Amino acid sequence: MKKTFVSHAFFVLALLMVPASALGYRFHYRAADYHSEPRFDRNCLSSVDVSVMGGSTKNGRNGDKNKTDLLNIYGAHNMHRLGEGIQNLDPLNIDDAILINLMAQPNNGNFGKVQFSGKFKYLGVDVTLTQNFCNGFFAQVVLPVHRLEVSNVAFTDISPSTGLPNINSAEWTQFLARFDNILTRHGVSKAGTKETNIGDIVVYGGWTYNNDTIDYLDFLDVTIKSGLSIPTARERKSTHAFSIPGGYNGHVGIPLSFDMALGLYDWFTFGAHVGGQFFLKHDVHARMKTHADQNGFIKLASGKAREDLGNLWDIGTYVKADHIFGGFSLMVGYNYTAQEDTTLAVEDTDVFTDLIVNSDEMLKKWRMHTVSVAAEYDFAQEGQCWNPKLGIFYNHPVAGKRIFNTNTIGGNAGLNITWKF
Amino acid sequence: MKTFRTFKLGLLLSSFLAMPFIQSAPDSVTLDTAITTGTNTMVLDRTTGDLYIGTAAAGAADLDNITKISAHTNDGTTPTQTGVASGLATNVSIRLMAPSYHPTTNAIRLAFVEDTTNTTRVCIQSADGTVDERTNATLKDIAGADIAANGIRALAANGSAIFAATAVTTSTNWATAGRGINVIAITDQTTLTIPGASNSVAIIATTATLGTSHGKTATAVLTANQDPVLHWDETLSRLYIGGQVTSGGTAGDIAISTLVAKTTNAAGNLTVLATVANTAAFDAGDVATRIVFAAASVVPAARVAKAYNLGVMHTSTGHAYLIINGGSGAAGADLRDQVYALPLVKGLGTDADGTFAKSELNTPTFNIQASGATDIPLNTDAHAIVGTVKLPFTADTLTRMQVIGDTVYVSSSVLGHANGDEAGIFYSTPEFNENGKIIRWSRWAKAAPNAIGTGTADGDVHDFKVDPRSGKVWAIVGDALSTVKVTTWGDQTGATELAGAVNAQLATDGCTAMAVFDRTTVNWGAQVISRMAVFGGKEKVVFTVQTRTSAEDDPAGTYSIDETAITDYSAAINFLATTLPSGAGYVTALGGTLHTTTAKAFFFLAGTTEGLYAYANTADGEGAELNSGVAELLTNLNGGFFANANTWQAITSITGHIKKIKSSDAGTFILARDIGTDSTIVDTLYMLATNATTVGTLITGTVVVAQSGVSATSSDLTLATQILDFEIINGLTAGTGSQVILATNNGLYQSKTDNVLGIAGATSQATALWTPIGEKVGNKDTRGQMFTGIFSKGKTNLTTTLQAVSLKDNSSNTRTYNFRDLDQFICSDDDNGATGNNVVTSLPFSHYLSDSTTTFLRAKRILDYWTDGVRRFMIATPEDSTGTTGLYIWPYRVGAANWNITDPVEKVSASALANKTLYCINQLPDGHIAVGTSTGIVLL
Repeated sequence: MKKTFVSHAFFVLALLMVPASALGYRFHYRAADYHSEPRFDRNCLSSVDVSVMGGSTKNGRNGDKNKTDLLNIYGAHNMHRLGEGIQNLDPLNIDDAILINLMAQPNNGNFGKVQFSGKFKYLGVDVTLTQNFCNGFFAQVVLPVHRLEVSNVAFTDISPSTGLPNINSAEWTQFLARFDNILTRHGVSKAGTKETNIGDIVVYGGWTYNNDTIDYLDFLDVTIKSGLSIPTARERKSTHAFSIPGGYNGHVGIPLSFDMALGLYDWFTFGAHVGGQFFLKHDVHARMKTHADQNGFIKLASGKAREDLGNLWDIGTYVKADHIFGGFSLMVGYNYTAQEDTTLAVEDTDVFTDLIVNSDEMLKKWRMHTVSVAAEYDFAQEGQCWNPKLGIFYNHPVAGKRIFNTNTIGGNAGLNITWKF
Repeated sequence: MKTFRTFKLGLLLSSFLAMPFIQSAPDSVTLDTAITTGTNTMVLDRTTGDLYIGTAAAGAADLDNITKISAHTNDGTTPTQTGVASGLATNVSIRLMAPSYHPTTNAIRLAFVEDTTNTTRVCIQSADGTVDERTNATLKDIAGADIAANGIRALAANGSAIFAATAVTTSTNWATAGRGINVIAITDQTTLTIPGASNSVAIIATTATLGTSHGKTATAVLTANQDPVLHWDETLSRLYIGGQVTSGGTAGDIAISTLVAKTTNAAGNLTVLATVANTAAFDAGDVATRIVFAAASVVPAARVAKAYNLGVMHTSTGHAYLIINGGSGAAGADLRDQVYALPLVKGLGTDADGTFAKSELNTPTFNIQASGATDIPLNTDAHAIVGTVKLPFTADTLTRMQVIGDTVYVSSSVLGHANGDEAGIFYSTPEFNENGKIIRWSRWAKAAPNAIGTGTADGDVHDFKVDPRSGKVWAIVGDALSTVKVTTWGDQTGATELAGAVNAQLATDGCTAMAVFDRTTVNWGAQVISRMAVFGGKEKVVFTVQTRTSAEDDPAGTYSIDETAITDYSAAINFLATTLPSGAGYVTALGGTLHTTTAKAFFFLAGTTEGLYAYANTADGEGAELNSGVAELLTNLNGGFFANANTWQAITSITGHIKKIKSSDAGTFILARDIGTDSTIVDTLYMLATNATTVGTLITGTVVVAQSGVSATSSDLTLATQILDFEIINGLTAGTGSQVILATNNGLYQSKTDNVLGIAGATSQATALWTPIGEKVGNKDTRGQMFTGIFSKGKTNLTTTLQAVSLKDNSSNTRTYNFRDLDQFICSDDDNGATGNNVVTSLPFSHYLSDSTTTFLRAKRILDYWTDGVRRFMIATPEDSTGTTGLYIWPYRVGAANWNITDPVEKVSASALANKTLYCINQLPDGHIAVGTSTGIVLL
């Protein structure tokens, strides 16, 4: 009896396992849910999952881990130094002339600096198809679609009113009067963006192992997988300062993942996850810094560079009360995600230097601590071929640095098809 | 919490204690051994800034009689002196010393003559004393006889030879026949070999001086026991020999004070040149107006020509002038209060080079020797009178002179203020015409504060050197002749001191602007006996009286130079702090309505980031008096106009950030930079109402004479979308009106309003007739080039010469414009102009920056600029754009051949300026150079 119950429970739980990485993409702009449970080892098992997740925020966390305005996570934008190192300036042009005059002014605290604010909205749909083969091997494809929107862009002038130059200095007031024109002249806009695109498609191959014969444990599941993240998403638009790439900015990625779960007391599950994603270098056309003091999203100079996207790491754990009321389960998880520094190797060394370009706060590593809660209901029955399930979840970034504070809420629907028992 | 507060207090205290308190009073060092009275042994090494002084013999404790005082970079400390040990100058007195720069390495060597032993020989040694040489025999007079002890009366040197003026064998009196010049060749530069005893070359065979060589009657006599002066000019390769000569008493007799000679630098080789092409150049005309020669006439009979000091000015415009301290006068006259400039022939490649040129202002070169009676300038010619007027001292005053770049410095050792005497170091700098030729000079102004002398009231010095690399002034002061002072950058803390008083008001928010009302101030001439400096900060303006002239100071009433300096700034008569209305912001420009003497029409003006304010009587809005008889209203800061209940009142017709206030006879102009309601850029040049006597009429009478991006008929500024600066230039000739130059992002524009009235005749932009500078053939075309600043040289109200700052790219021409260029522009008398007689032009090659045409020169991003003609100070942000302002100095004509610095712009490394934002620089009437900083003023 015991064995039967455990087997039954294990079957049901296994079917509840959603495909790893379905919404497990890690980005700095939104919290990701914890969906890295081992896959059920059942030959020929097919799974289709659709997840929808969305959220919005006006806040983020800066490099000091403090909460700040969404578009201020890299610190104040230093417009005072915006024109430094920009080539082919034309003093006859009023906008270039303003830049030249402004950058000749001495420093005075926050002179020439502005803090941007805005609103970020995220909506994502991921379709995940998984097919088991035999002996625990499986294949998986993730098809993401995202809508990323930055709106309500505004800025606050934080130039000082004391000392000179200050908030009332002509060099600065004239810059502000021509701010949009200056950006337009250099082919960049500080307007908001709203873009819906296919994300980077990920293809995995993996192996999973389920063991329900261990004494004192209901089960022990382990899944490892790896694959290829294909850069099908659009890259960051260099014409829009606040543009966010739809995926990993054109980089081919190699994801690795290890998931494990163990069951106790017939209702309690503890899981853990370690993952990473390594990226191949990629040539980009990017806005880059031309002076060490420049800071923020807005940069006038653009050029070619070979981008070495920082590696992504994540580690997490969760506990789950499984099937505590019929098919109903509750889960609480925690995830820590980190992306290491991104570096650019510039092509045009007459304009850019690697040292200055890579001092960009936007290229620095980011960190995110996320707490997730989820509730699920599965309709799986032993012996049933078609096993649907439904779930909702909520993810909250509780801490981090250089991230958007985007809480996300979403739901997922899945169907496991057991072709063979 | 308590612990935290204690910690913070500790930090504050430690920070406070760590702050440098450098006094601006000159640093002083007492020489281990004094110099000997009557000696001339002060040498500045132009390549290092080190000072060398030959001193008297001393006891056994100090046997090194050449003292080196290292270039002084650590303000507030005693300058470092070290003895230069050598095998020659060991415990002997040094009487004469001159620099000899190595022909290839430019390293200084010291040529000198001893005072007590070996006084008939010449020595030379390296600056460290390790290589030395003394002539191995006594020098000979022109007859081949040994000269008498101490028979060497003057010394000069170049890189390959030493020149010693020697008296006759029996005397030290150079006036005695037989005097001459020995040329001692440096035959081995490595070991400094100067073998043998060259025979003296009889440059003046008879007392007739040049009379013989120029076919004139040989009747002139040298003044007994007056030593000659020698000056070697490297550029012209000429030796100038000056003396004090009296002509004969017969009409047609002449006496010439200055000779010119050439040499091959071989021993004994010296050839006196014909200083003019035709002796008619010495024909007596108006005998009272000659400079370099005296021509006898019937009444008075004998006259004198004297040269106390000689120098050669190689102007930034490429011409050469003999600068002579002296002149001509009645027999017995003391002429040391006069300095003149005489053009020299240059560039012919013949013996005429370096001799007196025909003074023609309207030709591009000086390549014709003087040959006619009026060819050599007279002492009434404005272009010849250095300092515009005579210096305030005469007899019994030791004068020294230094000519560097475009500047003449003269010192006086006089003490006290009786009889119009004034002590100190004074300077004058020329204004040029379109040919780069001098047309007039700035009035004498103090080059250093009185504290460089023996006391705060008297700036008396016995000798001095101005170092254009550091901007500092060295001086030997006091009758003991053992004190060497050097000006230093510093602030002051005493309540009676200028910086102490000013900074008590401005230290918190800084001194962001200053204005100077000195002797050159238009319409203050002989009316206002006080000279002022005004300092601005956040909603504050501080008035200070810098000097005050009494009848005793200036019995002639010429008001030629600044007189008694103020020493107590705690007194209400000398110091007044005023407050602008709340919200007025930081003062960014100061000035006054100097264009008028209408009663009650003079207003002090303060421009801020928020607008323009005038200091006026609160009750009726009236200004101060400048008209004759009541100008004393500006004498004391607690009386007259200042005793009114005055307030700063807004000129509401002018809005925006006030960038500059400038005033002259032509009018008072205000540059305001603003934005329009539609976010357009609106840079506007206003001309204030003429003769407005109240703030109300100032408001209503203001005229817009230029606006960025605005078109008007024959006055199109459409392409000038930014107006960044402006200056006023004055007509070259009487009756020619002043015009205004605009610095814009599309080059320089000048007004071409009516010839007579100049810009004063403009009533609108259309009538100002703005014209781009560059249309003239051969002129520098400024169109399409962005100019960020324009400045006039200091101490003149008759400006024809401007320095303009323009963008300069890097060597790769990437058009990032991190650098600035500095050009000199000159008001030209262009008769081709259909309207407006004055056209601004620049010379084809600007000698202003460097003596090198190959070195890629560029300045930092200049924000403010001041020069006396050779010390070119600029407040700038560096090209590395760290955003930290610095004070930079760009010495005149940098290059290996002169100041030997590889980076032409050097940062002034003064601790008093460190860690501060620098806003403005100017020279004060009392001789200080003042820098406005974020903590108040810092003085040099």
